[in-house]
Amino acid sequence: MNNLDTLVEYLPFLIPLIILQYGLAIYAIVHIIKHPNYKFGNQVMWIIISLFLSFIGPILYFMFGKGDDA
Amino acid sequence: MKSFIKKEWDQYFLTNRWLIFFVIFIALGIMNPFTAKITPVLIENMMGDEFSSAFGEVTAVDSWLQFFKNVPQLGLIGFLLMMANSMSKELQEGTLPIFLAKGLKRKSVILAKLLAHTMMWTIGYLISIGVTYLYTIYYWDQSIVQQLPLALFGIYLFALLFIFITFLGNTITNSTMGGLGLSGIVLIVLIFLNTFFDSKWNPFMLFNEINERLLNDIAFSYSEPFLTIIALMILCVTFAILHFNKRAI
Repeated sequence: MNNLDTLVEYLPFLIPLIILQYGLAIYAIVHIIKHPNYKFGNQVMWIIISLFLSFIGPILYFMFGKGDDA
Repeated sequence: MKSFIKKEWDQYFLTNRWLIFFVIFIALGIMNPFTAKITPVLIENMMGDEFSSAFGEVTAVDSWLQFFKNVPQLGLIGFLLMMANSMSKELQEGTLPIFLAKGLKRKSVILAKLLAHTMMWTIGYLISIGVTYLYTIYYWDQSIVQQLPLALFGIYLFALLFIFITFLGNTITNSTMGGLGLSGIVLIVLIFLNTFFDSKWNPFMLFNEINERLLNDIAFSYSEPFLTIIALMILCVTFAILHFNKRAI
């Protein structure tokens, strides 16, 4: 089995995971920019966390970082 | 009562909680078959062919075993973290007296919250099952899996019990850690009892021999742990209501 076959075999996993991961990250970053109030930390910090910690970053933001006004 | 359930429901859907919620459960659903499929490949790459052949073919059972490992751990813990402050937050925000003044019974507050959590857990669990199921029938032969509905329902009930326990702990101690702490203590006790005293009434036994059940359809008595769980859940609700009736708001 060559590499392309392997990739195709795993595509059904990869596509949804990538969509979920980036969708969530983009949603979180839009939210971070639109609501510049945070329980702690600042905008740059939360954007970096949301972008680079896949899944965990945005979840951390929505659970612990997001300000109460939203 | 109805408007309060609606408020609870809105709290899931108007905040971003629903988003995290769906992403977690869909991702968990994908992760199960993915882990099952990729583990032998990883082992082969790291250790070489002769080592990996010892593990045998991956089947639908492996995919579901991953489900029983991931969903009760990551899924339930994530869910508990989300709802662990449901009662204490309500009291901090101070919205409750308005509802109570309008004639909402205190009992209804507890029941409405538990109902909302139960519904959300049910939806999340079903999403994970659905996603895992679709992948499993796509890659493997699902027909070899035995006793799946009962095993799934067992873990569903087990998780629900811990949602109730966390809620009770949160109601009594009025803190997030109180709810999670109580759950942790109960879990440790159950694991301890399951390890040292073999009892078919222990809810934790629903995790025992899942592999054997799915693969070989061995006889397994579900009714005793189910009864224990339901009894404990009723206890949780009763204590939560009794405590909440007496407390000053």
